[in-house]
Amino acid sequence: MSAFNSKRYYPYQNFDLSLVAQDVSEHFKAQEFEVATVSSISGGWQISIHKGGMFKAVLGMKTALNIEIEPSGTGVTANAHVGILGAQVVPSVIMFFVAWPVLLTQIFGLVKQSKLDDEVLDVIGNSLQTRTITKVDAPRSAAMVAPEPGTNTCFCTNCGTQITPEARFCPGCGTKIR
Amino acid sequence: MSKPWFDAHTGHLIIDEYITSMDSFKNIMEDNIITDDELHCQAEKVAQLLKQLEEALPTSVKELATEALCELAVLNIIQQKSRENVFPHRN
Repeated sequence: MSAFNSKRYYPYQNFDLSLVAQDVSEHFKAQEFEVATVSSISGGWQISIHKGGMFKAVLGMKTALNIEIEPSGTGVTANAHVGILGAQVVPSVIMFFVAWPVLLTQIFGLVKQSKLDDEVLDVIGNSLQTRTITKVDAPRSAAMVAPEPGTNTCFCTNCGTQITPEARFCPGCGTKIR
Repeated sequence: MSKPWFDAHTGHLIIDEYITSMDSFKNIMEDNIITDDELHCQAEKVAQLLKQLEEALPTSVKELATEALCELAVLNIIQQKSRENVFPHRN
């Protein structure tokens, strides 16, 4: 892991990351950031956010905070790092520039200082939470709704299936009953 | 007035802004081709400038300049090595 990136894992399986990219884009456009989004062949998205003052141009090219959002097995990962606005890789002409490591450190320092990386990773987390299809977390369990007085009928709080008070798993959805 | 190395307001290094207006850089960016002659010529130019700098600088400032050049070289080496660690199959 590089010293110049911020990474976060989200335990959500979301099959349309374009909606997350759209949420992030709208959030930062509302704050007058210049935003560029590019999809990747792996089903992920790269979002670049740039604002004058924080992101200095290097060799005539606009730098930005580039965020890669990728599906990652059981969830989604987001990786934020300094790059070039709208470009998926830093051009070699900048990589070989003798002062690039100094500039990279300075620009990433301002990103950390303003907590812009935390903000963007939080926006992604909130978007995933809102739009997600499945949350992947600890083994699922559900509480059982107490039986009606005078009856022996209980229901699974996950799917609503009627279950017996002795049931350890819901016959409808398989959820473990606490 | 001499060219500043850092932006007084942001503290950013601004040497790259002078590079974009240099003919040697513009030529490379225009055709994206680097010939042996261009490489040789640029290396000669740098060596010549460093010689002029060495002769012009007073001893105390020369030591500082030597240290800055050496530390910059070390930074570039560790940056490259760091990239190799993150992307071991690149380069």
